[in-house]
Amino acid sequence: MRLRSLRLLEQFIVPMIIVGVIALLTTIYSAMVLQKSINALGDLQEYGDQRLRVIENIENTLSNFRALSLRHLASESAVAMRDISVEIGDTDKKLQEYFERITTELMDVRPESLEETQAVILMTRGYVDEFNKLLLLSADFEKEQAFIHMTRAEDRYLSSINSSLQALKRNEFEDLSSLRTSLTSAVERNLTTTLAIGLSGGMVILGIAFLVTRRITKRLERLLHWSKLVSSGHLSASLEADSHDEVGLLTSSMHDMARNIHNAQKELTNAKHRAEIAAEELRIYAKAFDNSGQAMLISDKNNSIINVNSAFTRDTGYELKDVLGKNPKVLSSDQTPKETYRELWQDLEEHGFWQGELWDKKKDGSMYPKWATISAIRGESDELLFYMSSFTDISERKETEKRIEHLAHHDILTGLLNRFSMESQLDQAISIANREKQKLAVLFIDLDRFKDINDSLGHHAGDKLLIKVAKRLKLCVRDSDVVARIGGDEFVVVSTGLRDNSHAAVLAEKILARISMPYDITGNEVTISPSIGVSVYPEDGQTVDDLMRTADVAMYHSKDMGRNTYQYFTESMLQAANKRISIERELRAALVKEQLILHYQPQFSSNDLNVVSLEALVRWNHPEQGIIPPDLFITIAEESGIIHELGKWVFDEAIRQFGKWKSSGLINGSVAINLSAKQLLSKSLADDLRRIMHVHGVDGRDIELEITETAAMHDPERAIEQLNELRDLGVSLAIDDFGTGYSSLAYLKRLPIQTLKLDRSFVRDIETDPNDAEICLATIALAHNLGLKVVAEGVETAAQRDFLTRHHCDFLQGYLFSRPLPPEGLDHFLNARRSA
Amino acid sequence: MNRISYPGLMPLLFLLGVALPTVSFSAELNLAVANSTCTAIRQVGEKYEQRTGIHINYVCKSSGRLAKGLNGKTIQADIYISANKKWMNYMIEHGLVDASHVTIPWGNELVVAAPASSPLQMESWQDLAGADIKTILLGDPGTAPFGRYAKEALQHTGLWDSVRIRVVTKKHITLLAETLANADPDTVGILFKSNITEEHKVLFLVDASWHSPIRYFMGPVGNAAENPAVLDLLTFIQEQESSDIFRASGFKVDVE
Repeated sequence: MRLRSLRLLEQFIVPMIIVGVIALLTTIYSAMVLQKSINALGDLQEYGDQRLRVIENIENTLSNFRALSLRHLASESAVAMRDISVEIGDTDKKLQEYFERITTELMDVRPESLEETQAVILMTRGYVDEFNKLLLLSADFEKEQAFIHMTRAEDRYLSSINSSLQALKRNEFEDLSSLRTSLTSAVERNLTTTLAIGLSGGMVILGIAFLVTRRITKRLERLLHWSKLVSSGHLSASLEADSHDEVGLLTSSMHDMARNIHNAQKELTNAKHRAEIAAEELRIYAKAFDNSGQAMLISDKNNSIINVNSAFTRDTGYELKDVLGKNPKVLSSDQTPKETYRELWQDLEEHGFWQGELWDKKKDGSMYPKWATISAIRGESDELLFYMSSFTDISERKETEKRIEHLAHHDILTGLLNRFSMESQLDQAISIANREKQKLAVLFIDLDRFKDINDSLGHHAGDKLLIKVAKRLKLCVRDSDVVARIGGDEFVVVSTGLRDNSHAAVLAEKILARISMPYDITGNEVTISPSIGVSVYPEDGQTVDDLMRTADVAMYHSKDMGRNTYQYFTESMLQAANKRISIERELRAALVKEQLILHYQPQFSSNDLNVVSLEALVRWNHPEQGIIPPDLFITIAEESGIIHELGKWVFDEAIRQFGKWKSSGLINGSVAINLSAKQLLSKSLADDLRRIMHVHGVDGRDIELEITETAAMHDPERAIEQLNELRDLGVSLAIDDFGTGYSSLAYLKRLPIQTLKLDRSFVRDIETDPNDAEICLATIALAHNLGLKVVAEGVETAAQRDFLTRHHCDFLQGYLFSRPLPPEGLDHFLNARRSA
Repeated sequence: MNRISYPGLMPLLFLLGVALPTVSFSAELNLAVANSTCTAIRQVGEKYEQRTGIHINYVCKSSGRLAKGLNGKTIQADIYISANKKWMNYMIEHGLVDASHVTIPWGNELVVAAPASSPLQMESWQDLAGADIKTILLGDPGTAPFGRYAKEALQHTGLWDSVRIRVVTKKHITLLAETLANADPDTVGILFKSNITEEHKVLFLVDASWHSPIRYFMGPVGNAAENPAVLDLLTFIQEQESSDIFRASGFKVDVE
């Protein structure tokens, strides 16, 4: 009772404030909990980082351990070996330390990778133990045995250690990301809790509100019951105010109102009756007019609209009230030709009737074509009474016509413009840009390795991808820009109305980012990247053809830059592209015109400095540009396939020339010929070589073929097969520019080779870089242990020569002895040596 | 022995077939010989060239590197001479030499030597572990047989562990002989008696019972066993005239 005499506001607010404060406090508490869990997870992440660093340290230390061991093996002095052993011991100790750290200190954080880690540790310990055993052999001067042990240990452990370490690292990375995920989910969980508290607070408030309201409602119900009585005519039903709150006040004022209503009621009944009679009459006309399915409009003799039917409203959106009293002109759009209206009025004047197509505007502003029939209705004395128009919306028919038009101008698969309409729009855009003194950019977009997707997932998936790419492209550009698919996986974007060139870069970046995001193609996650070439009007071209061509050139440049990037067209690109094409053309001609020549660089035995071999090196004697070195045209030859023709020519020429020298007794060694990666894959290689050898009467033993490490690694199985076939011809094989990769050793054993060529980059720094010197020593030792010979390339100083000779490198080649010489130059060189 | 089998004929015909158009066929023989025999075998070879007109090429390396090179096809030779049994066995195991053709023409002895100008003296073998000697040059036991014999001797006499820290190895004997000639006075080397020159001073003769017998093993490589010229040269190398040259060079010639 006491509560009831309080105001409603007070009845609500007190309990709500209490509940609100409680909810607020709880929320603050849960936020603090959230902060704590964030900190905890942050710590976890830091541990993850540390582990990653430890794994990297293990890797580095292991590779250091291996390098030191190689040095130990290559060493000939017990004292030197003792010093190296101390270093090895330190490395070993360091390795153990890292292992302990990773197992004890950090493993608590991530017990599930304990097994993997222990496997790595076990393998590495096994590897290190094997090495320690072989180092004992090495220290005992049993180098031969030590080398055999090492080869075995590397075969057995090294690749699995490396892959396990990689796996651990990968796990760590995954860990870090899953930590991030759990961080997020913890935040989400806490957030949910906070929300729940807030919500339940809200619910309690609502509950209170409900209780209070319910009490009020009960009293209002009573009021309602009373008002029903009143409305059913018992206007004098009794009602008493029971309190002084708002409900009580309402009750008493309603009581007053009931009385007033009672008075007004009689007046109302009369008015209603009159209105019903008038409406009946109108309804008859309206039904006839309204039920017509065709849109109809009636205007008076002054052509002011007096009525429209519901079909009219349906078709145009205008209701009668919108157009009443207005001239039908308000419906028209400016799309209908003036002549049509002239003809319309003339016909109405003369024949009282017109029909034809009008372009009108709907209420929503959209234009539509309609087929209209208009009659001028005249009275008995031929005076004009009104105009009656009826019409049909013919936009659907128009739509079909438009669709046919669309198909002619658009790409069926993606709905983008096709090449034809893109070019015509670009042409228009060029005219506008010219007039407005603006710029425009053409972006030529080609999807990288789209063919792979077609090949692996099928054309259907490829089509789906193209559609998605088209959609994303659309999202990247403004409405005024043109997007077209001009064939296969090639798209063009024309961006107009630019003030400067940088906008195109922003657009290209956007396209790169959007297109490169992964796609879901029938359940497969597919990623693809675009290469984009940009040309800008007016700088890069003033016609459609020029702009398209320059954008195309720039796009190819992007591909050359490693794909997934964009390039602005530059004049130098065009020159480069033209130059490339002209080099390719000239190179084909050069083969026919015999402009290619061979130079020969002798290789010397390090023992007695006798010439043991001649390396044939191809040069292009260009009629205008002089001698062109091979690095400027071999790549082009490889890419264009000319290499096969060129390679055969080199074989033929080198073997012919060598045969001549050999039979004249000038030289008693072999000729070395370089083999490109493409040639190595050629099926006819062995047959070609056999035929050429036969023609020039040169024996296989006089020929050495040099292949690069990378060419041999590219397709190892095929390479081994091919090299074995070549070996059957009696030729010997050399690995060019040999480095000391981890994978090399085991693989090297499988190749039927006889010689390693030590890369010039190692030789160059022998004197200054102890690492390079060690690599040279280890390579020589490894090669000799495998029964291979070693040729050092790029020997330029006496110090390099002495170092290499001292360490039993078998053969030397370089400017110190002789640069590559033309055949006549080599004649002189050999003759001079013979007479000296 | 002189009958040429059919499969052996095919590669021969092929080689002749491609060689005939430009190169006239001339007899040439290639010898792969252990470094220690290099000087002596060249003298024998010269005599043989004078007698027959057949030109001989020589590859001189440590026995082990020759064997590996022949196996890896980086060296081609008609005759192989090894300074120990191990590497000849390696050739036989790899099917490069037929065991029935192998002969043992010579033996050798090990000496401890110093540079000619060195004041060092050795009373006994144990002096190697003494304070006067700082460095001991050995052949690489893995590939150079004279190093293997020396290590055996040091191990047999229980000296190896105490002298090991003074050891520096060399890949082959000519290299060791050269290095020793120009070495510090406190350096000694253990090498074959046959490789001692005027630039060396012999300090000690190593007891032959401390190591396995030093024997040379000679055999024709692969198809060369069917080449009459090769067989002729093999015979010549073992004739009296040749043996005299080897004896004069310090080899033991009456061995079996």
